[in-house]
Amino acid sequence: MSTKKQKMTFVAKVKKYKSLIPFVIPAMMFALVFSYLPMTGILIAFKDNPNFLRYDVLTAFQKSEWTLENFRILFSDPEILSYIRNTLIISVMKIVILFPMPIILAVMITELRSKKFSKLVQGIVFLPHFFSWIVIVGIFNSIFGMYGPINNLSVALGGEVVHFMGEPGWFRWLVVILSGWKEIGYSSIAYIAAIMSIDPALYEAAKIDGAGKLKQIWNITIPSIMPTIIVMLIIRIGYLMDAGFEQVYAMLNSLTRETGEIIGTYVYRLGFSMGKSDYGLSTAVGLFNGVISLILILTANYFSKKKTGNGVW
Amino acid sequence: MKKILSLLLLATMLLTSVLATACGGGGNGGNTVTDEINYDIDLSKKPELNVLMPNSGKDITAVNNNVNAQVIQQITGYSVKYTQLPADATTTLNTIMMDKEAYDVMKLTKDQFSDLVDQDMLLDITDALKTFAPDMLANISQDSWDVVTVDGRIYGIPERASSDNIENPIVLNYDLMLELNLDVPETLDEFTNVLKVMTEHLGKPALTFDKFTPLVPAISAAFGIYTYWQEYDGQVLYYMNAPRYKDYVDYMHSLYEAGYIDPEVATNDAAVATNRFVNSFDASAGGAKAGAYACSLWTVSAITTGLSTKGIDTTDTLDNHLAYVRSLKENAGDTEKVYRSSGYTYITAIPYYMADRAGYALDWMNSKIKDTETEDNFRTMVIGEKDVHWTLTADGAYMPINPAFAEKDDASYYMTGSNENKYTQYWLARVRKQPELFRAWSLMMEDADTVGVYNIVDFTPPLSTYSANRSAIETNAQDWFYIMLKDGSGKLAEYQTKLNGQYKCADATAEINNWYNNK
Repeated sequence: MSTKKQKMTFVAKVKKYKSLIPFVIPAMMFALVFSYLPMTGILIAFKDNPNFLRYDVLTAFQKSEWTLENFRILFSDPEILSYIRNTLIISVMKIVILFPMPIILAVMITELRSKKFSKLVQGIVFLPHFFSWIVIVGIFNSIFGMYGPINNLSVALGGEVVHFMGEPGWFRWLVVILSGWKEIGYSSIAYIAAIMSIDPALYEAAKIDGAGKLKQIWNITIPSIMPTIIVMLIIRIGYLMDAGFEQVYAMLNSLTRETGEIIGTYVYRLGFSMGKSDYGLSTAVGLFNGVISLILILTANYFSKKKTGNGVW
Repeated sequence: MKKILSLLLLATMLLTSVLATACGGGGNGGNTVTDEINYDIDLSKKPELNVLMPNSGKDITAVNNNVNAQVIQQITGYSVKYTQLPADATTTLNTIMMDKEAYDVMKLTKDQFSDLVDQDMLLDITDALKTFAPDMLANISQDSWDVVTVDGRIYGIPERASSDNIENPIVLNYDLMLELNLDVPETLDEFTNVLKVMTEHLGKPALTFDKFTPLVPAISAAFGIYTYWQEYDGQVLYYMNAPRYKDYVDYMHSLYEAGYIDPEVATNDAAVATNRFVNSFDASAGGAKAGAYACSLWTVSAITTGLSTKGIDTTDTLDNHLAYVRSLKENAGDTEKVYRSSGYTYITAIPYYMADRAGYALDWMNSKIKDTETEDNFRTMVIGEKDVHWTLTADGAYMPINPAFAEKDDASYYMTGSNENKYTQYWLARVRKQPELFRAWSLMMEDADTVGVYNIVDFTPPLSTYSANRSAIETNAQDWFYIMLKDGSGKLAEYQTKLNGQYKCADATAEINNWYNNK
């Protein structure tokens, strides 16, 4: 953006772009109705369990006392800190190990010579995304089981039998492996699309200058899709507090709770699985998650803009 | 062109704002609703009733068209529209209550019931029962009414378990035992020896169970722990606080250390464990196989099905293939006690805002329970008609007629409270359908009245502290058991402190004792 535009006052901007305003209104209405209005619900976190069933929203709200009890419960539990830690560790492992994979995969797929083969590969790697976690965990339970192929192989090679699914030290690695197996293919779509839209003339010019495949990838493909990568990374960081509830819930068992329990599964176990409707506590947890995510995404965006000039806004 | 565009935009905006007000305005009409029951109704009119059911796993059209639903309509004269909750019901149920959706009757789980009573959403039917439901009052026991009574008022219709069963056996591969010259064990030492010999023979750990079995009642019975909540010297305690819980854990750990327990029990689901047991009948099968299986009695059906794939004839009883241990003793001379399950899976209630039509709902449910010489509604509903679905044996037992009886498989789903004076004898027809299951059941139930010990919380009314902390107490106790099974009972004291303090088991225990001592 030029400095000239940034100096324009708000009123001047409105005047200049007034014909565009009607186009923005539906989007603003949508955000207002479905994102901003519901945010008032955050107040529930500061209320003593309002009875929304019996009374309408406003009456229930007035009838219940203001309280910080929900936050006290949330932060007084000595174990919640370790669950926050688990959440962050699993999330960071997923980002560090899994984030680059779809980019590499996308580059590999687009470099395939045979279009037919490329389509086939895409189809195969997308497929696991459409399985439910329960099914996938079931499959991997037998693969990693004590009588499964992995252990058979390791015994044949002179190793020892390991109960992978019940070993706290292995749990986070299995979460990353399974998550990668399921999602890498599907996540590569955005990058494949970005690579497809790179101007072929750039590659032709590079070839004439004598650049090999690797040089082309490094100096043309990667820089060209860098904005996409940055946006995806910032969005991904926004979900840092969500380590994948469904997956972890399906994989967790009595032996691995210590390293595997994340905030989502913990809150669910606390009471929501039992048919209780404790809106206060769940809102408090949601708010806490939201605030952390907001801070993370703002920080990531700030650094990204500073370093590369690319950002979500 | 510009004009058309702006018109379109305007229309979109209007639509959005209308939608927004519609969403925000929904469900607020509850202020004028009364919870006064209307006694001045004409019961011969019989309006169509809306009934909310638990998830059936079937399509809702199938639920409505089911032959049992039609039978109920014929018997009662009421036409009924059934709706079912999704499997994960909490959110939907809350939305239904918030919007005050017009359900005359709701069939709820005990947890849902207790939550809704807490929120003041259910109708007090104490007085209306006398007017509209005399047969219910006559055929549901006081024990059962106590479960749905809060501060002296009745808020629901309890549905007591079909039969109080002893149902947690250790099933043994009797083929293998005969081959290895083993007797069915009665004491812990004998049991340990059976596992030892089986393990040596199979080359695989001989005892398996699934990841939801922190208490193997057949084994813990030897240590005086028969069930989850029971009385020890005048005080009700959770099994993890039981005086000899440590001995139980130590014994299980010693079996684990010796290699007699399937090391994957903490991750096994029931299907996997069943499969491992069934595999022990197949000498050529690879992978895990276990000759002893601590499971629910109802798993016998799955075991039977599994055995039929191993070339065993399962049309009759399997006396020579399966043996059952319902409890072990520490010393041969000890008296036998064993967990007898019971309780209330479902409680049927009426939301307070449907008070106006409550009379019809109660009348409908009452006529389903009626079971006299002249009007055998309940029997027809549960097991069908004589000589079509069942016959009477010489000693007065109900024998199912296959395959017609199969259509009564779903009958219990449609119950709203049971006729406790009759249900057990009808329900047995269902067990008789499978010869081996009936044999196992009969073995387990020998002297049930003398040896059976009930889980005390099966009979509590809604208790708020217990119910709020139950999930945390149960999952933690379960987690710790599987950890201690592997690592030994070294950390037991630490776990107990956590359970009683942080997870409020002490508070729940106090609440349960308070109720128990004053009932």
